[in-house]
Amino acid sequence: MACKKEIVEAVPESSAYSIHSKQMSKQYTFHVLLPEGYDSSQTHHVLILLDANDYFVEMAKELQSNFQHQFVLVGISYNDFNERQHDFTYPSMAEVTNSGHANRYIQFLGDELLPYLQHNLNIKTSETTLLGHSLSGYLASYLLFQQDYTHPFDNIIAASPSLWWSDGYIFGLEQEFAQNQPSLNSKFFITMGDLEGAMMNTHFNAFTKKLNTRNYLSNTYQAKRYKNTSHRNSPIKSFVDGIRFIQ
Amino acid sequence: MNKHNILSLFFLLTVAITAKAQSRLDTFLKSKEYSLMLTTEPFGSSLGGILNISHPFLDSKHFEATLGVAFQYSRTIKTKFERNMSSDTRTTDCSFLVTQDWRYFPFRKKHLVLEAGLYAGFTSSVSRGSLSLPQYDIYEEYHNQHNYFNYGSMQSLSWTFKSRFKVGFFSMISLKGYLDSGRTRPAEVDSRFFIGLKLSYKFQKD
Repeated sequence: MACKKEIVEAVPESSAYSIHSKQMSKQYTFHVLLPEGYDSSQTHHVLILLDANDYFVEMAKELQSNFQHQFVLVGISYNDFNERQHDFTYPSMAEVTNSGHANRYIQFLGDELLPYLQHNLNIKTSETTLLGHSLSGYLASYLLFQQDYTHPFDNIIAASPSLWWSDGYIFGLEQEFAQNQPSLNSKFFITMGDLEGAMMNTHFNAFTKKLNTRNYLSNTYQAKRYKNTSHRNSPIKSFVDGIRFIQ
Repeated sequence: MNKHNILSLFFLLTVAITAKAQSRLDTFLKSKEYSLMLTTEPFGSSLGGILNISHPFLDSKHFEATLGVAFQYSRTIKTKFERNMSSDTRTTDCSFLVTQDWRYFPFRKKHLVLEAGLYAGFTSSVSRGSLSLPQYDIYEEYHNQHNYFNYGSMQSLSWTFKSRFKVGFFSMISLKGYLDSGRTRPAEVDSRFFIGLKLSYKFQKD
């Protein structure tokens, strides 16, 4: 887990910013890596990466090595690791203090962060992709299937999402979505490692089996299982494979 | 010599050879140190144990070195979040290891001992369980076995009683997660980090 200073030192080409969220009533740090040859007059595909403390440095290296000139990477950090349970989950769970605020967080992403990038940093967006792992992977999946808020993301990449949250709440959410929506409005890439234990894998298997039966999917969805891959090994390879899928 | 005498002689020879072999076996077993480590994981939820049988090959005033074999077993404890999972949901780890240990006795009386060493061997990690969410018409089973060459380090800090008994704190971390290609991932499924209590006994006094 890297702090702001460590990220800036590890990726000197990136810049760190701060944004105050009215939705969440707190400040967030986020890091921006612009592609080589960036032209502010042009639009760009923007990747919004959650849990930047853990993954920004590695994703930056991947983009610089394998996806040059292609993406603007925006990584949002959490202030405290336990904050993830507050920001990335819905509904709340009694066992987890102060959880269940994902509805407000997704509005922070769409109504505050993305406009900030455009108006304050002059980053024009042609396409946006949300990347999350574990609880933030759950948030990414939740954002896709909730219907209360029209989200702005063209693509969702959910690595090892915590689909077990609140007794599999997302299964009901997806079921409602399938009843009401003719199509999946975003491309969706979801992954799991076979070493992530029975709870994570059973929920993933059940969820992807449900998705495979839906009519709203065409070439917009892919599920991938990784061999010999544990929970903290899955994110970067998931994000890279997801980027290749959405291109 | 009649048949009766031959049988008697054969019987006596068998007893003598068995007694000699038993005596050698006793000597062999009593020359070893037996350690039992009761383990848990600081970044997970499991309980387990390690049985280590080691033989000294260096014994000086302040240092000892041993070589041994170990059997390790651990099993995850079902967490509060796994309430929709079956009661047999778990991940079990089973390892057969060769261990090599260095001990330092800072004081002349050899009560306090610091140990550090390496291990290498075979680990089999098996995950199993089933999910039931009848409200969504879901029933799903899962089983996965992951066998791998495992290696890492062990450390302990112990106190010796009556030159035979040792009690102390123990830790064991697989280095596989660090040294495999790809990102570092300590304390993951294939690079576990165990801590616990260590109890040792040896038959022969120093």
